Amino acid sequence: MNIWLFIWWCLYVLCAMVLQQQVPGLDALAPGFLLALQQGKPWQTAWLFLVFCIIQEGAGSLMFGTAMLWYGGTILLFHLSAKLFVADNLLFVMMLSASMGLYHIFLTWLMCSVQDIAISYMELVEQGIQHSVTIPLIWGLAYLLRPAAMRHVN
Amino acid sequence: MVFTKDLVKGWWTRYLALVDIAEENNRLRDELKKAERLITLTLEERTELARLQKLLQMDALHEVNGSGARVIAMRFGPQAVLNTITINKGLADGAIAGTPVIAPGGVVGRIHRAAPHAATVLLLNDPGFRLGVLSQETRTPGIVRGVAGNPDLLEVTYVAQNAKIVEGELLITAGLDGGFPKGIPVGVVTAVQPGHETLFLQVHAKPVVSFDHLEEVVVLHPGDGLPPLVAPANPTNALGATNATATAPMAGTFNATSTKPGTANAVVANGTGQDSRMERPRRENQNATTGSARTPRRTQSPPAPQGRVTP
Repeated sequence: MNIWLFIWWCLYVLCAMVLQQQVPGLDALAPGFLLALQQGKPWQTAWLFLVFCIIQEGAGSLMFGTAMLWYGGTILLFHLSAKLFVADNLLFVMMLSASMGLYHIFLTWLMCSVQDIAISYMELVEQGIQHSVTIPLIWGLAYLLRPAAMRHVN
Repeated sequence: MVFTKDLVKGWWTRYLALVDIAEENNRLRDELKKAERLITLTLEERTELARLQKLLQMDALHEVNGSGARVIAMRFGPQAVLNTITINKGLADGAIAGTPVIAPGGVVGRIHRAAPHAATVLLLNDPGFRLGVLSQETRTPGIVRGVAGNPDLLEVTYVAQNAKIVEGELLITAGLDGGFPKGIPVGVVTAVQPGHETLFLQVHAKPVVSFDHLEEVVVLHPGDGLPPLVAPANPTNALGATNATATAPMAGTFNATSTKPGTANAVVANGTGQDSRMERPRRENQNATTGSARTPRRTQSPPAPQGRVTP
């Protein structure tokens, strides 16, 4: 990984943290993860998976493993969708983010049920919709601002 | 022109037309006299209370040790489904799961999980939070819990239909759960309605603490007389199991005999939303090994009551 790419990812994570601080329940790291998946570099994806999981697990109030299931599910959804559609366009990301919104609702409901945590289902659905809407927006912005090292590699 | 006008107007209102000032002065003097009488009466009642407590061998109501903590993070990320904050005190400071946390205004919540130097606090307005309360005027018991989707609303459950609780009444901690001392403000009753399908009243309240603007909190450690908190295997379930009819010993019911004069600070919530500090004796030899009064004090077996247990 070259130094500019490393700096770019650091800045991305920093901005995502600020955004998550402002909007409770939002995963601003997921669009960056999609961008890394689209780039198709396994080592970079693996490092980001590790870093993002540590951040989200540490900040979350659910038991350890939820973030792994979340990003693991994202990888699975991405590869399943990529078999059917071209992965490097906004329409694909919009479809994928819609399925990720549903997956967020299912995963959070499942983990809360397992841990016997009372949650508001209306809030959960709102969060799912929020994910479906915000992921393409953040992805689009990151896609436009991505460094040269991340272009034309898919 | 404007300057002259202001000058004349100022002369008239400040030096010539002083009728209202004189009336206000008289009114303020009367209020001052009333306040002085009230203070005298309150001081007399406080000294009488101290005498009676000594006579009945009762510990003072709110004697617990508290340590300040800073809020270092709010709810954050997609996995943060609970209403929580993160503070900069953890296991090393004696903050284990279940430890009560308050703010200058009243109850904030309980510690949900703790790391060595940080802890997550489950807030009062979370739907999974339970706390036994009393209404301050009519002494109506109930259990407070958060309302899903509305962080500014609390629900008071298990309030009997014939209870005399009224709107505007202050809810205070009942002190029955072995964690929160009795008398700390929790919320103000905003609505009392008859229950449609239950045997209980529908009571709603507003928290006295603004959770969006928390910067500093106080982590309450049990005093000498409080039963020690035991870290539950599942903090969420343990928090949800608290109720007003818990059989844990009441706060401050053990007589501490091996005391010596000390200057440990004790947090006192006076029931009006303001805290004050008072001096209290410190227990001798709280931790013989380390000389510290931190975590080991919380995990050791409960102190054996000396003599009798006073209600």
